[in-house]
This record gives sequence, C-alpha cells and structure tokens, in this order.
Amino acid sequence: MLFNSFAFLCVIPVVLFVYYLAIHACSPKGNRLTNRVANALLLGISYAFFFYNQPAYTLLLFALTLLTYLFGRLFDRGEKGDSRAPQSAKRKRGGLITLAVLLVILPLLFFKYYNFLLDLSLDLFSAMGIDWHAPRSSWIVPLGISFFTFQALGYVWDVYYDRIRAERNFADYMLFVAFFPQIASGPISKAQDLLPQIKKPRPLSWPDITAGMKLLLWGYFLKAVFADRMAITADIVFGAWEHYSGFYCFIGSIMYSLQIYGDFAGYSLMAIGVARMLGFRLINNFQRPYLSASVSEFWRRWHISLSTWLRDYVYIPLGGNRKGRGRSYVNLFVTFLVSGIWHGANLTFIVWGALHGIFQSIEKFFKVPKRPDGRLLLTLRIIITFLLVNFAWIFFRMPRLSDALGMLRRIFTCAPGASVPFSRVSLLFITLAILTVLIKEIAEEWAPGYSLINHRRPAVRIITYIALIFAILLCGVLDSSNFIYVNF
Amino acid sequence: MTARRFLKMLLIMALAALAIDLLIGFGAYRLMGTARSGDSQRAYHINKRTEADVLIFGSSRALHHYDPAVLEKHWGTTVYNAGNDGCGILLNYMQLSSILQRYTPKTVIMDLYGPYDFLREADYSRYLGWARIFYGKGCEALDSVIDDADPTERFKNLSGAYRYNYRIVQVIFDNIASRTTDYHGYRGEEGELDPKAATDLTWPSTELDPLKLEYLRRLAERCRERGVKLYVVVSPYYSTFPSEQIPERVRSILATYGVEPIDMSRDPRFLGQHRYFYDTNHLNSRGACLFTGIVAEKIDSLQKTENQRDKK
Repeated sequence: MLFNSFAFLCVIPVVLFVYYLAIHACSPKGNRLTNRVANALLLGISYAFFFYNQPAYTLLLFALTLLTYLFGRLFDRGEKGDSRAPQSAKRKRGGLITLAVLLVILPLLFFKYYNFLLDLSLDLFSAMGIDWHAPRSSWIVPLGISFFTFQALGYVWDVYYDRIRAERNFADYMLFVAFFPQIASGPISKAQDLLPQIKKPRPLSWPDITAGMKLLLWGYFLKAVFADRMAITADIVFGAWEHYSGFYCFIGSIMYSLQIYGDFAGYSLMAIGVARMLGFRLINNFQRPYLSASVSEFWRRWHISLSTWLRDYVYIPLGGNRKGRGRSYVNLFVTFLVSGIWHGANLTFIVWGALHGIFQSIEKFFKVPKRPDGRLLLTLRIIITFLLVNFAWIFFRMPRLSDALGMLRRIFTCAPGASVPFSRVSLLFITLAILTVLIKEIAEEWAPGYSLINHRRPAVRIITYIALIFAILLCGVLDSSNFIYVNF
Repeated sequence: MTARRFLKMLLIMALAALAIDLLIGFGAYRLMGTARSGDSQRAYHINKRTEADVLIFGSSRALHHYDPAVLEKHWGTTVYNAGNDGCGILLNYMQLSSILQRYTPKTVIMDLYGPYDFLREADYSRYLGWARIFYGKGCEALDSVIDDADPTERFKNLSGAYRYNYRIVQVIFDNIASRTTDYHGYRGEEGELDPKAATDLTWPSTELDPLKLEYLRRLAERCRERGVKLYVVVSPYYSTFPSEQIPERVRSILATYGVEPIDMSRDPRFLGQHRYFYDTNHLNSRGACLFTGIVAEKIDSLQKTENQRDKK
C-alpha cells in the first residue's frame, strides 16, 4: 500500500482514529500502559502493512529482526563497556561482528544482487573459456529490504561499538525495525533516535497532528503534482533518447533530476508526516538539496539518513579523514561506491556512485569553500552543482551504460531531432509545478518568515491548504504510481 | 492548539473545500458544453451532440486514419470520427452507449489495435479520462464500465474537481480560443516518416485481457441489438511485426455477431511506403485519404456479399 494510493488515504484516517482512541482510552496524558497499548497497536499495523504488500516476506522481516536482536544482546557489554578485555576475546568479538554483518546482509545480497553477480561470474567464466551454468533467481525483491536491513545493521554496529545498550524489549525492537511509515523507503532511523521515542509515552498532541498533516499534504503535492508530472516527460525522453535532439535530451535529464527529488522528498515527507501524527519525529531526509553550492553540500542535504548511515558505518570505520589526505579521498570514493551499489545491482549505479565520489574528492583536493560570499558566485555555484548532479543522474536513470553514454553524446554534440516531448498543456503544468516548488524552497532557504503553509494568520494557512488540495486534484497525476526508491 | 480549535479549523476547511469542489464540477461541466474547439468540444460533441450516420471508433490510429470527407463523398452521408489518442475498447463502448441513448447510427467502423482493445493491462485508468466527466450523468452503461475498470472510481468521482484532473486547463483554453484543428473529429497528420527513424513494432504482451474482450463482445452485441452495422478494421502499419493482429479468440467473438474483420495491417499498398506515414504506427493525411477510400470500397464489397447471402 503506497502513500499516494487511494487505499492508503482511506486507511490512514482509520488507523489514526483507532490509535488516538487507544491512547485516550488508556490515559489521555500518556503513561506506560498507554505506551504499551500504542506500541502493540503500531506493531500490529506495521506487520499488517508489510503483510498486505508482500505476505511471503513477513517471515524474512521477522527473522532479520530476531537475528539482529540476538546479536545486539550478544554484543552488549553493559554500561561501561569492556575495553580491557583480553586479546582473544576481542578477536572473538571481531569474528562475531563479521558473522553478524554477513548473516544480516545475506538476504539483501541474494534478493538484490544474485542475478547481477551471477551474470558477472558467467561473463568471467565465459572469458576464461569455462562453460558453466547456474539458474537465475526470479524472486521479487522484498519491499524496503535495503532500508530495514541497513536500519537493523546500524543498530548491531551501534551496540558493538558501545554507542548504545542493546534493546531488551523484543516487541519494541520489532517496532523499531518494522515501523510502517518508514519501512518501504526510509528515512533510515538510528536506534538512539527512534528507540527512545518508542519507549517514551506519546500523549495525543494536536500541534503534532497538524504538523504531520501539513507534511503529508506537501509531500503528496511534491509526488503527484511535481514529480509525476516531470516523470511523464522524463520517461518519454529516456525511453527513446535516440529520437530526441540534444536539447530535449538535456531537458529530459533535468525533468528526471526534478522527478527523483520530488518523488523521494515527497515520500520522505509523507513518511515523516504520518510518523509525526503518531507522535514520532523522524530524521529530516531532505534539506533543499538543489540549492547546494557544492556536491559535498548536496550530500549533506540529499537523502540525509543514508548519507549519515554511510558516514557513520562506512566512511568513519574506513578511517575517514584521520589517515591522511590521500586515504580520505580513497575512503570517500569507496563510501560512494557502496552508495551506488546499495541503490541497485547495475553498473550504472556504480558509475553514478563513483562520479559522486570523484566530484567530492576533487572538491576536497581544491579545498572548495562550503558557501561562497556574494550572490552571483553563490548562484553560479548552485547552477554548476545542479548540472554536475544532473549529469550523474543520467547514469542512475539509464538501464545500460551504453544508453547513458549515448544520451550524453547527444547532449554534448547538440544532436538534431524533431520530436517535442511534451504538449503545451503539459508544459504549463510543468512550469507551474516548478515555480511553486522553487519559490517555496527559495523562501525556506533565505526567507523562512514568508512560509504560507506555516503563516501566522489562520486564514492564509487555510487558503494555502485548500490551494494545495485542489492543485493535487486538478493538476496531480493521480494514478498511484510507484515511488522510485521503493525499488531500492 | 486544543482539540476544539483543531476540529473547528478542520471543519471550516472541509466546508470550504466542498463548496469549491462543487463549484468546479458544475462550472467545468458548463464550460465543456460551451467549448468552441479542441478535445473538450470533441468529447462533449461525441457524447451529447453528434448525430452522424457513420461513426468511427478507436485509438489515435482511428483518429488520424479515417477521413470523414472521403466517406461522406463516397456514401453521401454524415460521418464523425470519434477516435481518441491512447484510447481503446473501454472508452469506445462508453461512447457508443452514451450515443445510443440519443439516437441510433447506421454504421460503426471500429479500428482495432491490440494493446488497447484486447491485450492485457494492469491499469485501465488511461481509458477513463474524458469519460469520467460524464459519470453519473444518466448513462448507466458508461458508469458501469468506469466501475468495472476501477472500483475506487465511484468514490473518487464524488469530487467534481477530480473529474477534470489534468483537463481543466484544456477546458478553459477550448472556451477562449477557437482553433479548428479537425474536420468532423478527424485530425490529419502532416509530414512524412523518415525511414531511418522507423522503429520496430512490438507489443508489450500477447496475453488477452478478459475485461477488454468482454467489452468488445458487448459492443458487438449492442450494435446487433440496435441494428447498427459494425465493421472492425485493422489499419496499415509501416512495417510488419510478429504479433498476431486479430487473435483467434477475438475473431470468434466477432464471428458470433456476424462481424468479419478487415485486416489491412500488411496491405502491400502501404507496407514500407514511407510517403504515406507520419510515423511507424500512423498514416499521414495523404495515406489516410487513400486508406479511407480503400476501406469504403472494402465495406461496399462486404455489404454486397452479405446482401447476396441474405437473398439466398
């Protein structure tokens, strides 16, 4: 059940009503009993949500939860940790964490990368003249496997590094892994952020409900009016790039850059909004990334929960920037390579990740300042950053490297082509959607006091909500299309 | 914020939204009726005004391939091209049902295109576009197709604004500017196919869609019930492709109602003749003119054979 589906819009008010009723019936101000009832309810809803989407994989989710819970308990060394443990014990612990990581990522490797690795192996064997065959997997990738695997793995590592104590309550831990607003596409929460919120009583809060509804509304707008409208043009151009001129290939690539932002930021806002209505505060996943003045800044604003995860569990353990400049470039490159691989089993994702690693290494090498002084320079840097990110998205979007290179060739050689990939009406909708989002982002970045959705006058707020609702109804693509990141 | 204040705000917003929604639904429907040109005028005309003796149904291949002027000249009767870009049997059945409530045309020519008319699809929402506007406005057959295609539509269509999703701007434009872009519904394509740009023709699947087949059957049945002569035609393609144009199951459904399809998909007069095509799938106006004439003659000869058979 996707956030933008009609079914979800029908079910979510019922879920919220039952949840609030349960909280209110137990104790309006919230206590431990209320919390236990609320959590049990949320756990049931979360598993029902997962079961509804992919019943067969519910067991996998449970098994992964149980496995990481047990490893967490195993690695827990109490309040003070045990830094004076003998060398043999440390070695044993090191072996165990390797085993834990391998076991946890095994389903992810199988479901997402088996066919890719198989094809690579077959090519390798064939090049060596060895005739070898193995069956391909036809299993569907479980919903949100990359997200809940990383969330659970992050927890195990945090316990291993003594950053947190292991969770003792299995039901609370189950909710941490399966929490329904975020299971399909994140944000990837850290245990130290989400688990305390699960344990803390969450009394009914009208400001939280209002804030959640606003996030849900804006998220829906970003998805249906902005992203899905861009998607129509992007899909047309990327689907038949050979027939479009270099100019329209470039326009198509920009449409995809905007689509993926609207799609993923929209999803994240909806997830954060639903969680907020339930009394949870999830990590903000996007911070106006296309207003970044460098690729490094882009990654501090784009998919923040994954960037943070990769920084904490890949970049820093590799040595971060503590082992000299040369090594820090390698670490950065490797981190983004992992990011590329995480997104999917395809060389195009690896190239995309490598490009981002290279861009940031270059920025580091030339010590590019974070935010330049002067509006003109800032604007120029924002445009250049957007173009670099846009360039890399072409690899991300294309099914094959050859297609990505072909499209880039058309763009850079200004190749001719006759077709126009949108109608006049579509162009009008696209322009209106871009202007709306651009104005909101610029206002939030440089003039936060002018926010219409959070305006101090209730009348302005109500008019804004109604305008957004009708913009969705009249201009949105309302076919419950899939979210891009659900595939990852 | 208190519960009372929250609920008060929510109520005000809901009432305001309801009023605006009603206003949009009512106003836009009125604008459909006053549209001077474009898709809104066309959609309203097909459903509410046309009284042509010969109707042409189908997708963009119908819209761009059948020139009413040629048929009018050939048969001396009124013709309207009701083809629609990206639309198939579901919309055609809804259009026919709506028309049959007002009058009975003499002939219906249906251009058959596999992906839209009989091949399986997971989502039918693309076919409901303009038809949603007429949901709940007195044509039960039209309502039932929309409900069959997507059971949630009956709830979604409670909103007046939802029915005009994406189309509202078009409806307004069509009231402001009068752009005569068609002749009796027909829109000819100008330009010639560049043979180098010709793409391979493939269909996404070969599996038949039971819902589409059912509506194809119902369309044939309704035509027979009301004494409308139905002709099913597969118009030409620039190149051949392996997919079967008229599967056996489709043939047998049509045969039940005495309809013998006219398959011109591999007609040598058009095959590989880029001067008659706008793109691989569509004829240009020159090709359409030639093709419409051939269809008229084929129908004449079919009618002649039928008449002779009836006499015997």
